[in-house]
Amino acid sequence: MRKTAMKVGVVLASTALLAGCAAGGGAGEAGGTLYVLTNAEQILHLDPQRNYTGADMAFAGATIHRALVTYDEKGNIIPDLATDTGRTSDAGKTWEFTLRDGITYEDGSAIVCDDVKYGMSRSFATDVITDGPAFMVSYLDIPVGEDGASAYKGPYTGEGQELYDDAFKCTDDKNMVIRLNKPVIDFNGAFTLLISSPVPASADTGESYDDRPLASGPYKIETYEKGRELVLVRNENWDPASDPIRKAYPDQIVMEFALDPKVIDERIIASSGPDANAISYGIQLENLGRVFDDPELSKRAIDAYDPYSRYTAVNTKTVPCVEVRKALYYGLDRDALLTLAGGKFAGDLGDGVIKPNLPLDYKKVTGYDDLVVTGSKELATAWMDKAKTACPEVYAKATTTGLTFDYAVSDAADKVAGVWVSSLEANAGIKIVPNPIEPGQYYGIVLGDSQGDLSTAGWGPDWLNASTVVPALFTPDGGFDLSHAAEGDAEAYAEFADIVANGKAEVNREAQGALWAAGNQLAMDRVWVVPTRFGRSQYIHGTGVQGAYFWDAYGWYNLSTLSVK
Amino acid sequence: MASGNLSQGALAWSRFKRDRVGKASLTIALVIVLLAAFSPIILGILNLDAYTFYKDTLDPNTAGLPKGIGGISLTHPFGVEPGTGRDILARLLTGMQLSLLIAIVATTITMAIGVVIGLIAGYFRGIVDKFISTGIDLMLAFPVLLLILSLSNPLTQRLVSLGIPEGNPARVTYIILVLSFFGWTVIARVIRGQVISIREKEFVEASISMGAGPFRIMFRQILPNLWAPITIYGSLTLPSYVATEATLAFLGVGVLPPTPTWGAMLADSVSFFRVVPSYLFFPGLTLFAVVLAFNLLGDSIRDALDPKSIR
Repeated sequence: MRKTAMKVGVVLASTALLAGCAAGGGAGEAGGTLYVLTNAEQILHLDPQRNYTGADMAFAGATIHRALVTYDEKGNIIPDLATDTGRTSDAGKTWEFTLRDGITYEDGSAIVCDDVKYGMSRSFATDVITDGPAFMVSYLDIPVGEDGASAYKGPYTGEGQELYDDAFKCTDDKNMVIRLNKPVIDFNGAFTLLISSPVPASADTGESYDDRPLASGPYKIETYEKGRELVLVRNENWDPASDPIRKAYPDQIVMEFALDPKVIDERIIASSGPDANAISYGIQLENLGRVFDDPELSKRAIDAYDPYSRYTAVNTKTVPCVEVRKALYYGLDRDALLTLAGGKFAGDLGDGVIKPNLPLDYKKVTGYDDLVVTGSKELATAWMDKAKTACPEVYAKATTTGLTFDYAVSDAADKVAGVWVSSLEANAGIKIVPNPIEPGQYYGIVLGDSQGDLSTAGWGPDWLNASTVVPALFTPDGGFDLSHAAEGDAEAYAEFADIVANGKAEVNREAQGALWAAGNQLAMDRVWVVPTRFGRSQYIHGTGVQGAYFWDAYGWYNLSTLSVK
Repeated sequence: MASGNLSQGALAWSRFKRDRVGKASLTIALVIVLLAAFSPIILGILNLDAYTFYKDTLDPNTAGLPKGIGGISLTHPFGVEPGTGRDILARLLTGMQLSLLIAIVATTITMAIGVVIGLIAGYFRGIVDKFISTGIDLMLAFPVLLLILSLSNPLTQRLVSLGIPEGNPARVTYIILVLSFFGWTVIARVIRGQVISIREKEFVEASISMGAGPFRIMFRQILPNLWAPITIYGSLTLPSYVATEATLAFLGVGVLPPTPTWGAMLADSVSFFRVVPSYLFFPGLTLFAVVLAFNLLGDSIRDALDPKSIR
């Protein structure tokens, strides 16, 4: 599912899922202007079918776009445009949804089934609609062509349109039937992403729809100037009675782009004038102590788990030696990594790719009770000794030419690379060669041919099921397979592939969770990734902002319930 | 008044000895070079290391910030780096070694290229001079910094494919090459001007009339008369390369972590200047002192060698 953004500002979110989060206060007051201050030059994507970053989905989904279903404050799936959360009679292979009455776009026209169908069809035009989730392409019952891609090429070319019309049927303006290629019992979770947001064919402008999408939610775009500001004003054609979650208190929402992160912190801390109604995407490391040690400032600050598990993937094709991988696992100084990530604000040591925010799927990974958090010379050396006889070639490579360590370059990430180099040299005698990559190109490069031996990454579930984690990270067609275990660790992968196949087919959610946990355990046993951290994130908002809380499901504020003075 | 019996070098030395700024900056420059050369031994005596995480210097109740004022203590006189606890003095000294190595090698190459091209242009004049001068004008028109930044990845890869080890050796080679490649033009122009005037002197004409070849004249007759401008420009180029290397590291074209350089330290320290000002202060002050000392030294050498030049 979603990757962590590699830049300041986009990540965030979540333990309140477990705690049953404390939603902010009572009813807010309508009126005023909410300011969102950001370092980014633009919202990565406003096009609903392309929006796939947690915080951006939280923003656009609470303001301009509606989807078939959404999350409530506690992270439960609730109906949004639909009348219920979807019906399936055959264990998840066929899904039916019915649209509510009274739902309209900003121009007053009604939202009909064909618009939802057209919106989802855009996901198939992978040359135009880039960066979005690929669930429709992989799950809809549409045959795969000779090139391995879907035989349907999206609405712009129309190639294979009859196949799509067959898989997605609108029986009338309100009712739809969606057929999948296999049973997916919680498929409605995918519709909490904005891929199920309606787009009328007449309004679609293709690639440039990103700049001016048609609003279905309580706000519409008044002006959008990248690098400067985005102004949202009320959508008078939105009917509050049709919407179960969005309270839409502020009259106007203004996002200010391209601000220095330090300036953002200072403005919100000072909270003077309009800045009293400001929120942002995080607090700079150097200001954390200042904010949380101050009794007044800490009252308007949030410190919460975010949905992402951070890890470093080991390319098993180039490091086909579990002993060397174990030595990496045991030799790394994780304590230094945690300090670097913010000391007491950094979060917890990660033990796998499934985070405890997936309670049904998380199970503590066993077999590493002897792990030393600062790195163990004794254990790492012991594994390297075994590697010397078990796989002399990989041993020689690790100790002489070294293993390349891919990361998206930043001052902080340079220090992270330093921890890898220094602690593995000292504890395991492994040479690490840092490979800094420009952040905007990072995932493009590591997912391509020039991937190194070790690649830093982060991943959070698309919805509350590790079906969006375990297969995505370790199966070749999962979309985010940095470990290549199917090729590099084939024997263990055979067992893993069975677990994934069973997990996908399992309709009992608890049994399914146990299978995902087993897959996670196996991946850790074979060290396909070196888990580092279950992260936390911190925010501060202005003195006038009411009802602010951390929306675990998406990993940012929930603007639906937020009001300003 | 110096007596006519003294050689030009002795004359210059006697002038230099009377220049107090010159003596002070020479002392500082020598100390810096010695500190860089012996930094491993010094750090050994202080029992410090540039790569060790002194985690006990960090306050666990903060976001990884140093205890006290930047973590300054008897063991860590310049304090420690936020987030890691690495010793700033140790990183400054280790970084200085690399900075000076790059600056000295790049200066040597720059001077060599500049002198040879300047000699050729000044000696042959005519079409050769025109060709070289136009080339220099073209070089000067390049947006050098942009070029260095955008070429860094492809060219470093190219160096690796030519057999230079990947990682820091290739990156350091790249920095030295680009500094030299874009730096020689100024030297070449100065040398060319000098050569044009020396070429008209009688001893050169005498050599020509005795049948000496052009290269013999250039390198045996003219070059020995150029050592004053070479020394002066060399001593002024060195500090500018120390500063440029720091700038490049600041902009991300530098050596790989965890190897320290001054530019990378400065770049990182800027975000912490409010909470850990010592982190910005010490690297900034050191860079300032080094560049200033070498610059003043260059000025003093010029004054000593060429007392008639107008400052």
